[in-house]
Amino acid sequence: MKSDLIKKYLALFFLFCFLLFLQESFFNKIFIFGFSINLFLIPIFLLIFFSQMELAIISALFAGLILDIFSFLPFGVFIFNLCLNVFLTDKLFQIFQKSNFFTLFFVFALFLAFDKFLLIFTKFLFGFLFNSF
Amino acid sequence: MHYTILLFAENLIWDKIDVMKINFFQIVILFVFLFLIFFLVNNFFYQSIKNTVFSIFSPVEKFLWQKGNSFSQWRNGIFEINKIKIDNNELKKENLLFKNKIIELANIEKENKELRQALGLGLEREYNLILADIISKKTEEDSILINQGKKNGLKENMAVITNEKVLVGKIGKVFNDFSQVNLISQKGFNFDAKVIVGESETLGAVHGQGNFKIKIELLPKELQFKEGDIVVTSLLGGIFPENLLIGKIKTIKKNDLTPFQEAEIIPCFKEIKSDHLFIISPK
Repeated sequence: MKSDLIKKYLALFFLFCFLLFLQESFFNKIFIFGFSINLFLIPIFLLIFFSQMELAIISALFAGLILDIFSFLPFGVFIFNLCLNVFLTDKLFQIFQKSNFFTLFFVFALFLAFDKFLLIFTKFLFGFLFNSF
Repeated sequence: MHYTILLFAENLIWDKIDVMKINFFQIVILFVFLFLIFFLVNNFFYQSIKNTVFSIFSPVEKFLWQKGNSFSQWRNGIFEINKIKIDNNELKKENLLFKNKIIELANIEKENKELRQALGLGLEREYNLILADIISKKTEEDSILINQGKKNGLKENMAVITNEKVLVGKIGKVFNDFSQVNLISQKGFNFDAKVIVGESETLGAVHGQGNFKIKIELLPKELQFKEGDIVVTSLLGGIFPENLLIGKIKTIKKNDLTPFQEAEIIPCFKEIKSDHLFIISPK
């Protein structure tokens, strides 16, 4: 049972490592309406949608850790940003319910918007707290 | 009976409070623990962790960056055939114009060279150029990772250009073997520049907007600018050497409420496909 869980987490970690290299090489060069596609957000959103909160948070932690290691921003910015985004999106799903496609689309749009705005907020917060940015 | 119910209710409430206390306590501990980790990493281990990670993964990142570049060129070739045809026609026309200009400039250059020699000027005379390879690009942060660092004499705020003398940005964080280049499009990146219109030059201030977008502000309202006007660096700010190419004007915005006009710029570094950059280091 425990080894299954470890296998699951390891698989998630390697999935995010693979996504990072895919993002760095190909998806950083593709822009939609002036914004690049963030591959990390898709699996996390799907896990929240399918009510796998524990896995969603673990994914946010792994994805955040990988992004933090390879980023120039202060360490912890992406971990904090993604975990907060998972909580907020879960609350949104509780409010709007998963009733139809439009709700799903609307919550996904808000999830992406949260990512952008929370990143600005977290950058400022970490810069203020740790004075390294 | 009533007393028993009350006692039971009281116990139930206290039990819940205990559970809440534990949860709250756990959350507080988790936050303190995370804060400590973030604090320690950011203040004591940041440089060494980043340098080690970049040293291990830079060959993979560089390989993927190069593959991504060739993929990007291939994709552009397929999806933008019509645009390429139109661009090609326009470039042919421009080429003819430039050929005439080259003849005019050849004479001026000769004269200029003699003057430079006489005065002892020139970029190569004043600065050392350090060659660096691009390892990866961080789209979210408008920055690039290069393979030169403290060991190669790089310092913060050194200007970064391409071999075509196009301004890319300046050095941000410097690690032992790697450095971060803050692109001129990074939010909060400000410097002085000038717009070249014919033979006249107008000073303005360039601001990074994020997402590879830049704009120039503080241009006098009474002057006329048009799409395609060239923007280059100015010596005024003291950050960059003079006349490094920044970009071309895309759209001009005039507002009745402000005494100045501003313009959106298409940065030239966006069009560069080279994997190498030069860092300007003072002699």
